[in-house]
This record gives sequence, structure tokens and C-alpha cells, in this order.
Amino acid sequence: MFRIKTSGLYPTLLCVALLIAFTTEGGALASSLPETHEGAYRSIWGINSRIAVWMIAQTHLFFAAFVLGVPIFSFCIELVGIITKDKRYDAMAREFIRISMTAFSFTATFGGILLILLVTLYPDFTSYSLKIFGPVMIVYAFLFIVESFALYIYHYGWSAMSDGYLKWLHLFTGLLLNLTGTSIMVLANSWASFMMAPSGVDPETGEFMGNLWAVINGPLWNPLNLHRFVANIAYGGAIVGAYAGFKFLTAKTREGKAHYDWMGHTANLIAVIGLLPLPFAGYWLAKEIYAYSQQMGVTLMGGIFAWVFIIQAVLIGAIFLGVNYYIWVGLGRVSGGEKYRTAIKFMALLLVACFLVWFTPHTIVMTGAEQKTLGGAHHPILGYFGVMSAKNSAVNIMILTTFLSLLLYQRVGKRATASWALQGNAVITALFVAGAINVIALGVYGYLVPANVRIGLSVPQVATTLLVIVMVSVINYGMYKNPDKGRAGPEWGKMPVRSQYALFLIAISFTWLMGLMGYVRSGIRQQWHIYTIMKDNSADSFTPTLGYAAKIVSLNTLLFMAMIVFIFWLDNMGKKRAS
Amino acid sequence: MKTLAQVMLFNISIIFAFTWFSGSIPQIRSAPQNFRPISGKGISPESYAAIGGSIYNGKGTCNLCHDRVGHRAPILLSSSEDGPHIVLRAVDRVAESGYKGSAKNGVEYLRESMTDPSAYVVKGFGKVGSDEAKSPMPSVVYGPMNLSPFEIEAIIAFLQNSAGMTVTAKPPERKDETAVKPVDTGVVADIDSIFRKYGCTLCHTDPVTEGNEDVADTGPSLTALPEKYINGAPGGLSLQEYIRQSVIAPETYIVKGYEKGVMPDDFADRMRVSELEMIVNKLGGTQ
Amino acid sequence: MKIPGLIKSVVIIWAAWYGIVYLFTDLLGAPIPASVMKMYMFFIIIGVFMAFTADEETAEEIFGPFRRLLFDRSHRVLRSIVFIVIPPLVFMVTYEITRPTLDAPVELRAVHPAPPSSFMAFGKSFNMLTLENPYRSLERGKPDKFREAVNEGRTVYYTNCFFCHGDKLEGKGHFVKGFNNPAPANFREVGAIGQLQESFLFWRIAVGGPGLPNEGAPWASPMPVWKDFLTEDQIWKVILFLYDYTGHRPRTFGK
Repeated sequence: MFRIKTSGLYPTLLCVALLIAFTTEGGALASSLPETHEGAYRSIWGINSRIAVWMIAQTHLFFAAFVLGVPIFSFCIELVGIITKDKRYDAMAREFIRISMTAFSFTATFGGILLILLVTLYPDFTSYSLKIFGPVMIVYAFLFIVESFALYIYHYGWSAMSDGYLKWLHLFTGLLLNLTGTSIMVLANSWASFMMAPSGVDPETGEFMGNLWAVINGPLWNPLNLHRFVANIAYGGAIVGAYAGFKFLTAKTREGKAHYDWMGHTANLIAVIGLLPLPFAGYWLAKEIYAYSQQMGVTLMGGIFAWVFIIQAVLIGAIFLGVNYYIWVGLGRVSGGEKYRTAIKFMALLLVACFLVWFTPHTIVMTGAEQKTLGGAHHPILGYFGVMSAKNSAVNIMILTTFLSLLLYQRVGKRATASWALQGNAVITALFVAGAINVIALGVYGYLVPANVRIGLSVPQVATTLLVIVMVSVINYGMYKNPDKGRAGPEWGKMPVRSQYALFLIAISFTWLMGLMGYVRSGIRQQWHIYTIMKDNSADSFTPTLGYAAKIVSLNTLLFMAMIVFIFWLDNMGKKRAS
Repeated sequence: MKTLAQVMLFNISIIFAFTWFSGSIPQIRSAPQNFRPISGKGISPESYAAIGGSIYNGKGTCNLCHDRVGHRAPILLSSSEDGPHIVLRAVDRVAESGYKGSAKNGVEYLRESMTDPSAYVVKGFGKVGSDEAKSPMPSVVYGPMNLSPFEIEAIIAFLQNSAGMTVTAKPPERKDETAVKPVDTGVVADIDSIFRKYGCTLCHTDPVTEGNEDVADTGPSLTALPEKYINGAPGGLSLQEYIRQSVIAPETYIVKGYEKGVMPDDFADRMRVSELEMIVNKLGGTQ
Repeated sequence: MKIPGLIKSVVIIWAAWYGIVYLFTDLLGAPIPASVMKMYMFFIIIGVFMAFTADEETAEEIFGPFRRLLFDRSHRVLRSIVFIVIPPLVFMVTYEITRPTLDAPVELRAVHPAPPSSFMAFGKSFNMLTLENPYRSLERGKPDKFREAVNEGRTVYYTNCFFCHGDKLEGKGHFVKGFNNPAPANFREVGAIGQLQESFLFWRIAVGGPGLPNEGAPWASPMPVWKDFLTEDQIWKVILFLYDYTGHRPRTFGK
């Protein structure tokens, strides 16, 4: 087993060797923009180079997101375990890390394959990138080694460092693991964002201007960092949720079912916590893209990719619906959940209504006859739903509704112990209503003002939502602070089978969504390897259709799923032998 | 195991649903934007078809007879009384019992019709007095057209593209290129005709009119060479020597930013000395 | 009497469908396109399913009838009927979907397609990333000259553009009845020029309909290629006028 786990080191060392080989290679840059030369594009065994790099990079990213996300909440859960002295948390954090161990070597392996592919298939592009990012990549590889050591100590030292100050030392190793992991992601983001929005190089010649920090700290770097960081947490939660769901379905004993039910629930909670701020991080990234280049912004939102966002809306909608459904079904675990049955119906109505607004396309697919009746491709009513104002309002309401679901779940079966419970509830209700009204009013106001003001309106909308969430949480905490002795806790394991399928839906939609948005993020560069610096002169310098991209994404998702199943199977086998 | 199968089935059906939805909306595909032929291999089908189109309407002078009216020759680019689009027609033609040529499939038929037009003469379009045994069409590899295999395949690509079909024609490998027979139709008097005769302006900017700059980027610009090489040409040659060398042996020096193996290397066999000297004088500014 | 959950959910779904169709077709006078309606109904069905299966009792009301139909002995006749009826139904639906029709294929048209990074006009190349209206700086520096330029733009507009884009820039000129789709742009609308930079307008006007990229469906737009009729100067001035008249500000990004 140990050999499998250390195999991640070999690709790392290989990367370092290749990097050194490439960065020390001489050759001055031309005085004009870097160009591709003969042999700039190669193909092996007739495989399309773009698809090869696309798929390997995406698989690498899936694993990377997973192994970065899992330690983040493993660390948090361990901390919670230490504070609450509940052993279950500790056991779960450990189980999470164990799952991510094999995935970690997969990540490294795919990263290595990706680099080899880039070097062989896109030599000109790679050598230019390495000339600029060489030092960053060496730091990157070094951090990878540090991360490996932190991970091994964190995992293998779990039992040895379980008491007293050693436990805190162990937690510190977890922190170190997360710090290096996040640094690795941030460095990798620097070249991804450089390809979209290069900085620190001469725009005329593409030559490095001498300040590496200026290259790294490009206009899209920080938005991308935040977006990926938050998404990784949610993604890790989603995958672990699916793992727990599967274990729940196959568990034979009551204890097993209870454990995995609880695990699925916790993972889902983490996914929700990551999911709630995710749209905002996404908006920030999109806004920065617009600010960086109008062409890129228009391509992204209004041009060839406009419909991607409808598909994105469907996927995110599926995730939101799945998350809520899981919480609603979860109400059945606790006695007293029945009284929220009517509330669920209304929340479902609200969610679906918002969702319909959210995914109504700006450019509607219409038949000729329909266009004739409407006098054009613009729908007089649905057109209002197509713009950002409506969509922002809808997504904010969806987030508030999801938060309400969580709130109800948290309250079920409990009795408010504070003396001011009645007033507290009134204030909470008022907050929700006021928040919703404010969000909708801002949305309506958005139709009356120019675009630059309208884009700015999303900030107060988001602020409203976040404010409601924070204030309600605080009030609610006050109301339920003192434990109610008479209450029966949730009956873990009492979940119907269909609820677990909601967990699978969330995980699959998440994976697919990441693949799709990866296609868009890369695709908006259009005919450029590095936007405005290095042109793509290959035969693939066109944007494939959405349907084609969807097929690739699906293939990727299937592959990833197969590998994850394999990893879980390995884990199972290892455990069987151990016992 | 049963649970695993059920879960997998569920997951796969979700993935399938997403794929289906993405494929169900009208698809938009962007064209390759800044394609510059790098070598025969890297050329995109669309660009190759576009090159074929410019030959069809230009150097190959095909559209002179194969026009939209179609009394001189069969209409090729659309379905008409002469039959469906030529690419489809060719497939049927090969299968006809009356067909005696050597082509095995539609593409071969297209190629054969260009290189050996009399292999099959379409009814009603035979040479007058030949009893429909000879075609009035000259072979494209000889005479004023003088098309190379690269160009012939490009025309096939263009025809396939105009039929809305997948372009399967590919640039031939260099070794397949049979040496084109030097055929001369008489002395060409002016520089303009020489450029057209050898198709220089398909890839280079026209030094006479200084036009077609936007299309002719395959080879280096030929305008204002004396100014450009005022300090002597590459390799320590004089400009005149350099031009001569570039025509006769194009691979000797490749201008930065351009590719090897694009310019034909057989001009030494095809060109008259007087023509070469006219080019040298014109471009070298010693006219 | 208690209504069974399955019937209730079917009624709700039907009511939602009828309600949306009635709302759009009869009350608002703008029928909802089939492609949108299909997706709406799909998610309404999912939503109803979720709401009804969130707890065990009502879930049983939904799943029960199906399970009984499939596995219960007493339902043999009904089961046979269902299994006989379903294949022809699937066949009919498949046939309806795949049947060729005489309708033109549906297409997506992006109203504001992405401009290229640079384009050729007036014998030179314009870089869209850095292109700016040369007269815009006059607005602060020399207001008199700026007014003058706007007025020249007004003349350009009323001699060339207003036939389609209208007297009041509202997109309803004399020729509008001749176009089905796309209609001429309404410059006063919030979502039109206020969202765009002046360089975008310059490109869009200069290359006209034929210069649009594929996703803009260049074959659909009858807008002339104005670089063949107007000078560079005139185009910049008419852009000044468009913003001046409508009161929109060209979109800029803070550096």
C-alpha cells in the first residue's frame, strides 16, 4: 500500500527534472510576439492533441479539487472534534483523509502526465510558459513535496498523536497541509489566469519584464483563487457525501448505517456552506473578466458561450434542488419534522419559481412560426427574465430559501429556550421578508438604470442576503443556546434510499459543472494560447460546439467517477485486510 | 454489487441527461480564426477548402466554363438539370454501367476528371466532331493552369465543402508529388503574366498591384524588397542572387515566421531563364 | 374526503401547465416558446415530485400506486394494458420528434456577439482593445467643439440611419415593417448601447450585418456595411450623437 501512496513523488521529481531541462535551455526571444514554429504542434498516434490535454488537465483538476477540499474540512472537523470532545468527528476526519490519500497520488500522476503532454504536444507554448513561470514551477514542485510530507504525517500520525499537546501538534500538521495545498493551487492559478489575462510581460513582444510578482498577480488571479478555493470546499463535501451515500446503501449493520448517514449529512452541510457564497465568487470573476477585456466578456456572456450559462443554471439548479431535498427528507430523522410539511411545499414552490426565472435564456430558441407571432426573436415578457437583474434576484432568493431549509432542520424537535423566543421568531420572519423584498426591489430597479450601475447593484443584493444569513444565525443561536433536555436527537440511519440519490445527483452535477466551466474558462481565450500574446496556429484554433464539449465533459466525468469508485474499492480492500 | 449497479445507472443517466440537454440546443461553432498554413499536415480542412476556392475561381479558371449557367460545361456547384452537386454526382457516376474510367470512388473520379478529362465525357458536352469521345476541357496539370497535386486536392476539398459535406481531401505528402511536366505555351512577355502563370500571387503579395495583402500571407511579401534588403540579402548574397536562389531552391533560406516545404521547389524545371530573369529584375529593382 | 397524493400532484402539474399557457397566451398576448415551456415543465414536475416525496407518508402516496401496478397480482389486467399502450406511445412520440418538417431550422442569434480583437477598415487595422473615440476627450476639454461634433453626428444619423432606427432612436423607422427578425436596435433601451463600449459600436457600424461573426447570424441582419458609405470620422461622430441623444454613457472600465 505504501508504494502506491508514495508514487506521487515520482511524477513530482520528473516535473522538476523536466522543468530544469526546459528553463535552462537557451534561445533569446524574438523581438516580436512569440510565435509558434514548425513542429509547434504535434500529435501522437493520431490522437487530437487538444482533446488529450483537455481531458488530462480536467481529470487532474477534478482530483486536485478533491484533495484540496477534503483536507480543508478534515482540519475543520478535527478542530470541532477537539472542541466538542465528540469522538465521532475525529473518526470522520480521519476517514476523509484516508480516502484522499490515494486520490492524492492520482492528482500528482495526472499532473505529471499533463506536463509531459504539454511538452510533447505543444512544445513552443510550453517552452514560452516555462521561460516565464520556471521559478514559480520549481517552487510549486517543492511545495508539492512539502505537502506530501505533511499529508503523510497527518495521516499516519493520527493515532500516535492523539492526546494532549500532541493532538494540537497533529492539528498543526493539518494546518500546514492546508497551507501548502492552498499555496499550490494559488500558484497553479497564476499560470491559468496568465493565459487568460497576461500581465508582467511586454504586450508588444511578450517578453518577460523582470518582475515575477507582476506576472503572478494578474487581473484575474485573485478572483480565480477565491472562486476555486470556495468551490473546492463544496466539491470535497459533495464527493464525500456521495461516498457516504454509497456506504450507507451498502451498510449491513445499524451502526454502519447510522455512521454513514451522519457522515453524508455532515458532508452535505459542508457542501452547502461552500455552495452559498459560490455564485458571488463567480460573479466577481466574471466582472473582472469583463473589466479586463470587453471582447472576452462579451464572448463569455453574450456571444458563442451565452448558452453555456443556461446549462450552468440547470446544473446549479439541480445542485440546489438536491441539497434542499436531502435536507427536507432529513427532517424525517427527527420526531416533530412533520410539522414543516406545508413549509416544504411552499419552499419547493419558491425554489422552482426562482429557478425558472434563473434559467430563462436571454436568447430564446424559437421556431419560425413562434418568431412570426412574436414579431422577432425577442420575447416581450421572458426578455425581462433574461437579464442579470432578474437572475441575481432569483439566485439570492434561492440561497435564502436554502438557508431557511437549513434553519428549519436545525430547529426541528427542539424547543426555543430563550424567554424572548416569540419576539425572536418575529424578528427572523421580518428579516427574511425584508431581505427578499429588498433583493427583488433592487432587481426591479436594475431595469431602470444603465448597465454599469446595474452590475453594481449585485453588491447590495449579495450584502442583503449575507446580512440576513448572519443576523438570523445569531438570533437563532441565542434562542436555542441552552440545550433542551427533553428533546430526542436525530435518529441516524433513518433515511429512505431515495435521499441518498440526491447526494449522488449533487456530486455528479458538481463534477459535470466543473468540467463545463473549465471548457468555458479556457474557451473564452478563443484563438489564443495566451490571450493577446501567443496565437493558436493549430488546426484546432476554433471553439467547438457546446454539444461536442458536453460529450467530452461527460466522458471526463465518467472517467473520474470510475477512478473514484476504484479508489473507494482499494480503500475497502485495504480495510478488509486490516481487519 | 446490485447497489453499485443501481447507483452507476443513476449517475450515468444524469450525465446522459446533461449531455442530451447541451446537445439539444442549436449549436454554434466558431471558425478557426487566424489560420496560417504551417505545413500540409497542419492545415485545417476549412482553410484548405478556401484555398481550393481561390484556385477554382482564379488560377485554375474552372469557373470560366463551370459557371452557374452551364452551357459550356456541366454545372458543378449546385444541383441542376445536369444532376445533383458534383460531389454526389461523382459517387453515382462511378457506379454507372457506362462509366469506363479507372476511378473507384467519387473523389478519384473528381481527380480523374481534372487530370484526364476525356476519361469520361458527359453526354452533350463532348468536343464537336469527336462523337462525344473527347472532352473540350484541358487537363489541369498542363497548360496555363499547371496545377500541382496540392492544388488539385485543394479543389476537391473546395467542392466537398461547397456540397456541405465533410472535407476529406488532404494535402498530399511531398513524396507523392509527381514531377509536373515542364510544358510551355510560348514566351510570356510581361511580368504580370509570369506571376499569374506560376501562381506566385496565391501566396505572396503582388508586387505589381501591391494588392491582395489580406489573403496572400502564406509567403513573405514581395513588395519593396530593395528597401528591405538595403544592407544586403541573407547569406551575404546580393539581392538579385538571393531572389534567384529563392525561386530555384526555396528551402535554402526560410524567412523568419514562415514555414519550410510550402513553396514548390520545381520552378527550376518549369521556368524559362528569361522569365526568371524578369522576376529577378522586377523584384530586385533593376528593371 | 382525502385526495390521493398522486392525483393531487398530477392536478398541480396540469394546473401549472395550463396556468402558464393561459397567462402568456391569453393574458399577456405573447405565447411562450415551446423550447422554454418544455424546460419549465420538466422542472415543475421535478419540483412537485420533490415536494411530495420529502416525507414517508406522501412519498408512499406517490410510489404506492406505481408499485402496485407493477407488482400487485390484482392489477394484472391493468398492467397488461399499460404495457401494450406504452410502446406505441413511445413510437408516436419518437415519430413526432424525428419527423421532418418544412419549418426553417431554429437558430440562436447573439444580439451582441463578441467583436474580433482587431479588424480592417478604411485601409488600416483597428485594435479593439485600445480603440477609443477620438472626439470623446473633447467633452471635457472643449465643450463647444464637442457640441459641434455631436451635431455633425446628428446630420449623419438623419441622413443614413433613421430610416430603420427611427426618428427618436427607438428602433421603429419607416422600414421596420419590412424586417421580421432581427428588428433594428432600439438605442434608448437600457440593455443596448449603455452596455457597450464605443469601440464595439464602431466595429458594429463599420462592418454592418455581413461583418458579424457566425453566432451573430450575419445572414439575418440587413444592416449595411457602413465603412463603404461613411468615413471613419462620420462613424465616430454618429456614435457621439447616439449616446448624447439617449442620455446613456458609453461603458468604460476603470483602470
